[in-house]
Amino acid sequence: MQQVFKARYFDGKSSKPYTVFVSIESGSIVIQTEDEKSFTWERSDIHETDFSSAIVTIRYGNEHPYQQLEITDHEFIDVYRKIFHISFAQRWLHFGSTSSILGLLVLGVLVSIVAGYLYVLPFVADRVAQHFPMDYEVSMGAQIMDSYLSDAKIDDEKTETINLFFKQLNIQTEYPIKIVVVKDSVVNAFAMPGGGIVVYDEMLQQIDKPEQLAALLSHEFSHVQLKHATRNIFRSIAGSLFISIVLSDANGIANLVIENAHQLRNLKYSRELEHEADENGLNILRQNRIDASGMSDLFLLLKLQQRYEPEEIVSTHPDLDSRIQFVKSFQKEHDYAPASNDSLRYYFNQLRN
Amino acid sequence: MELLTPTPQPNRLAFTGQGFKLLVIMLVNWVFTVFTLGLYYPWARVNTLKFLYGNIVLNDVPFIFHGTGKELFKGFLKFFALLIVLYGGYAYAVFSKDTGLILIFGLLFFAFIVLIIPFALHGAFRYRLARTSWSGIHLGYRGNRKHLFFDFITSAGLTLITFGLYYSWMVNGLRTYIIGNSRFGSIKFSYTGSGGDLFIIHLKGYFLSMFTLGLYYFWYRKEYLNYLIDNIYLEKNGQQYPLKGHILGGSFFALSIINLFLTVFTLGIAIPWVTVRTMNFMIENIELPAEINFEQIEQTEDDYADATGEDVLDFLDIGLI
Repeated sequence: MQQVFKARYFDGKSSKPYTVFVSIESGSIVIQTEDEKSFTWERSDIHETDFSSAIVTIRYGNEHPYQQLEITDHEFIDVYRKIFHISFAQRWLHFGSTSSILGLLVLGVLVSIVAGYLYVLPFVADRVAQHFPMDYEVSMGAQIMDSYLSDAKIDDEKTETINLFFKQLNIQTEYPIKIVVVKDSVVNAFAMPGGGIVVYDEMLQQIDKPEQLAALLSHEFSHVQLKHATRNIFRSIAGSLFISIVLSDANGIANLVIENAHQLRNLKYSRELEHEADENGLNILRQNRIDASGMSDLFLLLKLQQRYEPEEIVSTHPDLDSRIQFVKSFQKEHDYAPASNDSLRYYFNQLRN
Repeated sequence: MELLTPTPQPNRLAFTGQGFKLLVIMLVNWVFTVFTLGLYYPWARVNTLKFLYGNIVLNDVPFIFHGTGKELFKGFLKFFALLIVLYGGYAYAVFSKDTGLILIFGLLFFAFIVLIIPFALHGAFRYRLARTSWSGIHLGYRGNRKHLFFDFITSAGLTLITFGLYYSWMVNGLRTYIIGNSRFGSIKFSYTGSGGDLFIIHLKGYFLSMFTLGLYYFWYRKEYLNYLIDNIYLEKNGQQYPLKGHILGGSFFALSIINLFLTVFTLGIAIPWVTVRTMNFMIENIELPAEINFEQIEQTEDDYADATGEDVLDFLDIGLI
């Protein structure tokens, strides 16, 4: 039984529509007009087919302007595609939007995008960062450090002393640790990838016990040893790359929203890293039998400092109260008698002068 | 004896696209583009354009976009060949460390990006309109490239000299020329807006939006869009018939706010629906003149398949519609 479909026909000369009846017979399209005239379109002269919208369009002829058929009945496609070639993408686009399995498939793709971002990506980025050659890490860090220090005022004397102070902690590491004291009125310190640590002299002014300084330096050193900066960079780059690929087709607002969500996630990650550095720092203090209260005192000091600064809603660091709590629970778990360390005190006093 | 002239039937313009279908297109585009390392992009763009045009329906007959990924891809190749030559020159200058050479190539590059805009506009309009049809009848753009180029250069220069004050006149001039040279088969388009009117709309919109903490913005956009639509005329048999814009500030406000929430709270997954809602809103607020019988348009325009201009505008992120 030959299937016949109602269609609109345009002759390519004017926009006047004609109602016609279309069937497919022995590999060609047969078109019958309302006044019973009929003509045939050969396969070789079909110029263009389009299944992307609600209407199937077929154009016929050797050159512009073309004759055109528009068929609303989608069953036509099933008949048509048995005989004529439909490209892979067209098939996807057409059948995709009509089948209900696709709903699940769409959901699957979305879920795997999100899961990829939340779980696979950080895992891979971390692995890559862990295996990133140390030489590269050190030279990358040195470059960042140089460019940072190029317009900073270095206190040479204190720089020398603080490095001697650090040596007293007897830390075994393959990283070339280089601590620099920079003259600045901000109470802060930070670590670069590969061994560079910057301490602002105002920070040294605020600290009043060698234990606090030991806590500070062991915390910053832990960032270096645990490759935090490098891991952060890898995660951030991988994340941005991932997002820019995902968003290649999206508009501005969505871009903004997702980038900000990504930033928030980065912050959460950097808080995890801070926590890791606190823990490792405390272990260094313990190995040196330095009072772990040095770290909680340091946090108290920072907390006092923060009173003068605007409250941050989102911060790269965990809040200080929970960090102090963490030190206390560490102390409970690892009970040890602190021993006084004269060399640390000696260098600390030198720094304070 | 005929006493009554037949009352003209209103022409119905509608957008029939569905968000889910666009989502599928975007996902298919996304998967193919990623797995082909971006090479699928031109085909992906065609899929989206086909969807957007194919769902604009005039008197139950859809528009059709006939562009192909191959055409867009060829356009990209041409444009990138040019870019590579310029980049290459600039890179050579940088490595030679010759300040004069760096300056020359830097300026050349800047000039290229600015001067290419009118050429790209010309090419893009020719391509986009020639590749769009309705009931088998193709749209077309008959503007002169040189004319558009000099128009653009002089008005852009004036805009620069007047620190942007001339901008409304510049855009208005370009719009008048481009629309005035556009056709829908035997129907001619023209545009009658004036730079002064536009300037006042922008000025008023700017200050009132500021005083109302942005609330007036939606009424400003409404006024602007309606002005554009109202000044487009269709000419048939020597008679001019205007389009009418029926956008309301309140509904534009509602559209924008809901779209914003849809985008933000779904982290962008609802973008296809946002696009469809916007298209729907725009299309449904355009009234076509009832006097024109769209079933009597004749085919007048030539074929044109060079998509380079289209690609350049896409690269520069200048949207046409």
